[in-house]
Amino acid sequence: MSREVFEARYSDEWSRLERILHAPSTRRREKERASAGIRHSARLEPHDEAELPELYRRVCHQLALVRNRHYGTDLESRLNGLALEAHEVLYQSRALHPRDLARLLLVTFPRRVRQERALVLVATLLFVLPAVGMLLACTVSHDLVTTVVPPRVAAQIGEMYGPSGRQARPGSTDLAMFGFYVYNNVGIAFRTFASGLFFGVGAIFFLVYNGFFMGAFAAEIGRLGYETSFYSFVISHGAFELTAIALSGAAGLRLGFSILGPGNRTRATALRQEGRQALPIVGGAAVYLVIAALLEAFWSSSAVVPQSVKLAVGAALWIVVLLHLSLSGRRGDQARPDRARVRAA
Amino acid sequence: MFRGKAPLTESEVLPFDAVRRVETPEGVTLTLRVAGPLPRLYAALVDGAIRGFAYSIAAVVLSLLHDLGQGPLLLVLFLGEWAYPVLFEVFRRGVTPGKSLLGLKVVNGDGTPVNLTASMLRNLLRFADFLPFGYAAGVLSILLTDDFQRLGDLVAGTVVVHADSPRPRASRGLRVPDVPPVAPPVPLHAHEQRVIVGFAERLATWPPERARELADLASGLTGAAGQEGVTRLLGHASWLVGRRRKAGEGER
Repeated sequence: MSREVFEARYSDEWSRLERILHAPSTRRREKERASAGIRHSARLEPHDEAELPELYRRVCHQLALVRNRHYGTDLESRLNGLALEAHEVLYQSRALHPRDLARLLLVTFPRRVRQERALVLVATLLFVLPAVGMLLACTVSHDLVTTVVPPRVAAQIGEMYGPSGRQARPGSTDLAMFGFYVYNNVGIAFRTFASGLFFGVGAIFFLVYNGFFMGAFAAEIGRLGYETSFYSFVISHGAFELTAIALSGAAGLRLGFSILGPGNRTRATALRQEGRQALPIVGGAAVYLVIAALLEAFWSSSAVVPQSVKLAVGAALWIVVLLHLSLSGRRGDQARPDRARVRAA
Repeated sequence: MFRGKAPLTESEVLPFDAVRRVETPEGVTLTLRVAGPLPRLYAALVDGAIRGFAYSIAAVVLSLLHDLGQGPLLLVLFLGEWAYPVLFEVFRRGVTPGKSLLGLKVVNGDGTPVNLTASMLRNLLRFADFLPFGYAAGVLSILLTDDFQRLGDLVAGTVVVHADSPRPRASRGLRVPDVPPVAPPVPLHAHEQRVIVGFAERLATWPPERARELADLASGLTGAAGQEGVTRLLGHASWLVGRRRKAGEGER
């Protein structure tokens, strides 16, 4: 068959496919279906819906013929474009549902944390050991504080956490602080994760640096003797914030280690797979940090709540965090086939 | 009539083009035209400008609230920095406003629309691309990978492609002129056929001197130079698109 006959015979079909793909109603219906969470939603009217897969398969077949018979690049690129577009509609991924967020927080996130517990431990140590080391060092020689804490900040510590501190803070500052904590802390968690790509170095840097900072900060608080007011302030949001720092560090290390030790995969494949695996941990850490920001801005700094209540609630929140990470979604853990195999063996 | 020839090899099809091939479950290979660094830079600049504009509007509006506006402004900055690209890519099928202006879009490596996981990964990793300064790592990665992927694209398994396929020549009024078909003296390879048909289709867009100059390159085939070479090439092209003795009427 000559090219011109071929084109004449099938061009109706192609225009029909084009019409289906570009019909304005298809875009609207797609949205409705996306919000209803229908799988592989074809964004189509019912009669189009039946026709599209058929037309798509035919255009794939015709594209193969066009290539095999060398009908020419323009026809080939037209059919390639059509097939691509139809392919895109037929193979789009399932639309998001609020249920997915709940599942991320209650199942996927804690489960991934448990699966990465070795890395989480490493990340925690990379954070805690420098903090303790710095605390001890600064206690011995208090000049060291200003090596990591800017002098201006160090000078304000007394004002902020002293017995008279934070009393006079107006309500508008609470909101400003919330915005700042989200912008700053969630941003740091994301950067910690991303920079882990460079063989884990970036994640290690953020963990150790934050550890040093907090150690020095704590040493300064100890020197001034403001422990009670300081720890009653940080304990509540610290439950979420400190955990989230360690978790985003662990996720960053996961990225870096996938390049260092890809196993029997190519490094590119390992990176893709491990990145996908690490993402729920980063997402969970981000949610933790938003919770921490809410607590830090509106609860921890409250002048009305007595310190003893803050300490009690803070301790309870630590327990909640640890229970969430160690127990939530555990039923699913045990149903995992690889676990079952291990037990059988 | 051309059956029995060896199948096309990649170098025969599109020798220098930046193209990524994707095999579908239907067993046909689709080609994605991946976008190079320059259009992507422009798209990023447009997106940056849009964000900057939105920030300044937010700053002006929120300044009416005095101190109370500071917190929301920081939230706007946060969303602009981290959520802007993800929201557009997920809800507008891989297209941010900047990409839309440049005709680009993000797709998964297999050509399907980018999903939330992939979009979040590639945009979180933007910070790694930024390091150590001014997107140096990202540019390096784009230049070193076959499909122009920055680090975020590598982790997410995504590519940035030109969204619109080139307009077919026929729709621009470019087709092989209706001249009597002449069979080529020797059997031609697929890429040779393409070149000749392409020449005939685009003839109208060149000055005659340029057409003769190009036809001279094929004098080995046509055995003629100048205008005669052009005419013979057109005859071959006409034959190659399937026309036979009576021009305009194909054989079955």
